[in-house]
Amino acid sequence: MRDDVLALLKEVKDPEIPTLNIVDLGLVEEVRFQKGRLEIDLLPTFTGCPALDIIREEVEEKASLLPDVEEVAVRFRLSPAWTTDRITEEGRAQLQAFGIAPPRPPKARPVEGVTCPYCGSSDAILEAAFGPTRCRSIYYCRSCRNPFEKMKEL
Amino acid sequence: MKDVLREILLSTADDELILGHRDSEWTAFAPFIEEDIAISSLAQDEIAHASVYLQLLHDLTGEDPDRLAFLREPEERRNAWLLERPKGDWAYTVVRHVAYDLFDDIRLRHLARSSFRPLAEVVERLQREESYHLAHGRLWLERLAQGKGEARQRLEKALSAVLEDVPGLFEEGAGVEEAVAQGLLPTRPRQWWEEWREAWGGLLIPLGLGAWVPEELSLPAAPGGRQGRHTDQLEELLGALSEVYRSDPAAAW
Repeated sequence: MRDDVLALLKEVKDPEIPTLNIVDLGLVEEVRFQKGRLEIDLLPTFTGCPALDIIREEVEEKASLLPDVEEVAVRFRLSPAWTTDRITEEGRAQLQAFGIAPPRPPKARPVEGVTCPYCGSSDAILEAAFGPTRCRSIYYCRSCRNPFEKMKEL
Repeated sequence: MKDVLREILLSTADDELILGHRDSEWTAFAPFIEEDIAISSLAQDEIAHASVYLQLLHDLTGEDPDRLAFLREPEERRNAWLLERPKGDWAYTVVRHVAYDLFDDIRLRHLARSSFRPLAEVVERLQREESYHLAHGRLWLERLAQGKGEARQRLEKALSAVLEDVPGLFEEGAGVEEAVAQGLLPTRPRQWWEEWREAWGGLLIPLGLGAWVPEELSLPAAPGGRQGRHTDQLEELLGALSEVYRSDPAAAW
């Protein structure tokens, strides 16, 4: 059941990053199924992120399509804490495809610089710590001269 | 035990909610566009964190988080006075945020060891988000400290004003002794003072602002925010905060 649910949830995208699905984003913590009742525990990236309700509705809608499922309960949990280390390799590629530099893997911080998602140069500087959503910062690439967004490390 | 926990959760939630509202007053008025986004993000974070604490309270007592946020009278609020002061100028906003963020950082570290597991568990989540607040405030403090003339005057005025209210952060509400005895609060808030003073000094002294690092904690003699006594400034703020909610309490947002 868990695998079926995960496969299905890969169709649910982050409402603010349409190339990134919530499984690769690392949101799905636990899936339980018993007597027709499917319970899915999700971890919010940021507390009170305005996208959470949209994600919940989509997950409920998708999951209710599965055979044998009569009832779906989606719950957001704050523990364990979601961290950017939960994003899979595929998820990082999906972020990059949308023009957002993925968060650096834990071992690379803070030594390595930030890589521009457009030209791949590491010659980028932080322009603003807070970007268009709470999970992103804005950088400027000095090589291709583009501003770009980067997902914060949490 | 419930009453004691309620005091801890309310004072923490109220600090965040009230500061978050003050931050939101800068939306569309911050010094420049990136900063407008930054301060609005801070507002969103603080208010989201308040909702986390109020949700914990809901799980404990069944009280409705929205009603707690919007409809409580001033004497039922537990935030420190520092957070209810009007937003002032940009220097005041920056200095208040840094002073509070340092306090909040220390408080979170202690709450992470609370015997009330649900609280200890969410703290890690919140700490990760708060670390960006301190980084933001530190950057601004450095920038303002390098200024001369009017900039310097405003900064010094802000530091003096903020320091008057800082002791109120460490005021202890009802049931602190019981909270410590039960491990809900691993240590008493007044014991956090030395940690705060050290962190504050660590920021200010390298910037040539050592004159604004107080030695002793002088807790106000009269009761303050943690005991439900507030300034008129809070009443005004609550009027704005709850205006829309009161217009239709049954609406779903």
